[in-house]
Amino acid sequence: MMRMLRAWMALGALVALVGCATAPQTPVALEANRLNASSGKVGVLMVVPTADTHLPGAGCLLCLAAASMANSSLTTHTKTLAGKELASIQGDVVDALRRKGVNVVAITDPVKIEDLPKGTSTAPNAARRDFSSLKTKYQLERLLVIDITQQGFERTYSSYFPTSDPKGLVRGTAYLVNLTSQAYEWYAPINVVKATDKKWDEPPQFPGLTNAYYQAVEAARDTVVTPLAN
Amino acid sequence: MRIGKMKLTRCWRTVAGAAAALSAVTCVNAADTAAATEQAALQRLRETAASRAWVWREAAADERAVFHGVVSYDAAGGGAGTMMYGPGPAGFLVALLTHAAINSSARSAEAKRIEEGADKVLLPLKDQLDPLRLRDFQQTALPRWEQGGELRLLPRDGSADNAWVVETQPVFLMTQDRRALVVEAMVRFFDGAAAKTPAIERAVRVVSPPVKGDVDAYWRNSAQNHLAHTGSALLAEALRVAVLDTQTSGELSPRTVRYVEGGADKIERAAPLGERCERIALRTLRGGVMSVPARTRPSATTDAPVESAAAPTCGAPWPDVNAPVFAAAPAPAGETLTAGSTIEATAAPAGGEAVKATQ
Repeated sequence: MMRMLRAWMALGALVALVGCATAPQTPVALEANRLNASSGKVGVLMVVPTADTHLPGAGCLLCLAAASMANSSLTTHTKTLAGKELASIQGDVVDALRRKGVNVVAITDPVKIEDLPKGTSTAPNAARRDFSSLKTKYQLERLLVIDITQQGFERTYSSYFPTSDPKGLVRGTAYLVNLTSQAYEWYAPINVVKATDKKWDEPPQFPGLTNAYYQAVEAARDTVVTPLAN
Repeated sequence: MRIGKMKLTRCWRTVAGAAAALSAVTCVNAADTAAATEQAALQRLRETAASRAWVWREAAADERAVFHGVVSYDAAGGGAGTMMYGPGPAGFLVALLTHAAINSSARSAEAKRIEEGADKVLLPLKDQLDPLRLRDFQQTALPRWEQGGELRLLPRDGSADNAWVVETQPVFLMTQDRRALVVEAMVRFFDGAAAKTPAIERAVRVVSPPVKGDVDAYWRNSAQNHLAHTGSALLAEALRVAVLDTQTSGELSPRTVRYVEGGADKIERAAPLGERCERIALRTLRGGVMSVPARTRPSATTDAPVESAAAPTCGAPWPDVNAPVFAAAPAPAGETLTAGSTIEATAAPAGGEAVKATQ
């Protein structure tokens, strides 16, 4: 009886742990000629958060407080990064698609992707969010989303201690959703981390790190625009 | 007793605050003074660059040209993670200190490993690099001086009254694909040979045009001596752009500039100083100077050519020169090697190697 109970408890724990986990979306390559004059109207949406200093690994509250304090001058500088360069990727995407003859529209209204309803399809490569509201509003056939989740600088920590120097960071995903089938027709992770060439600790302007940040922005631009332009 | 302690603490705080404020004010004043001194020196140099003589402090006869591999720290650093400390306050402290020591040691070891790994790129060229002397590079670079008048080498014990004295401390870097040579040099300008401290100094980085084809054969070709000639051309270009920067006054707006370093596309946030012969000179965010083979953004349609602060044509009077910087490298008869062009290594009929420039 005891053994049976233990087995059921173990099974319950396993279901609780695994049941909620979602398999990460794997990259989906963009088929050649997927986007052309006959692709229908394509909306281009870009979400850019404000620049920040990210400190992964500073797990405990005290560690985070110590790490935040140690990097406070960098965080102050990070807030001065306008993000205009990063946001200009949307314009480059629109230009690249227009050059291919695609009927394209830039969506400039603020959209919070996490506020959209979750997608209901469980099929492989099904979009995680339901973009029907945008389809209706802009009369779209497809939606191209550039979803930047982190930008600024990243410094990895092991509790109280940094395990790396700060680096320029742009992280997120870019994807094309067919709004009829709700499937990803292209899915590209963006994960660009750029180190300074020399020293990094140059307050208050941090020129080396600022340069690394702009290098990360340009590399992110290439990740997004190059597959669409080809 | 307690009141006395509080008063003492307040007093200490006041003293500490005053000291901190004094220190900050002193630092600001020192920075302002240094900036004003450099501005005055720049003004003097601009006004007298054409009228005064220029000399280049000679390297020691046996001073070797220093070579390293280009390093990338993009993948450096351990991953993020958490550590459990303890038990108890004493255990916490011991574990914390141990963790700090291990972490610091690991990071130093990693940096050393990356740098040593980068230098391995030079191993196939070791016998070519060993005989290279800095003074030879200087002598070959002399005819490429563009400032006007003649640039001559100043012997280590020589004097040159009223001349602008240039001093360079170069380190040469080979890209990991061995397609380009880079020089990183501190270029210092002294107002007269007797001056002990430089009036102006600039950190300069120059990247050679990328080599195509069999790179090892290209660099190992002892008849053409490409390593020495490229090193010399890089040094001459470092001098040129350092002087160009001193001649460019005012605040310049930085922009994102793409360039080529060997087979890799590189990006720099910097203010363009001038563009010519497919090369672009830049003032970096740190206030340093770069000269690199220019490249436009590959994916965008709206990418305009980089605006030029100086005359964009080759062969114009200073700051443009009669011959492009890399043109002086020895090329086989009938072929020219142009700045910003691609150097192509091809098999030569006479068992040697032909070099041709492709635009």
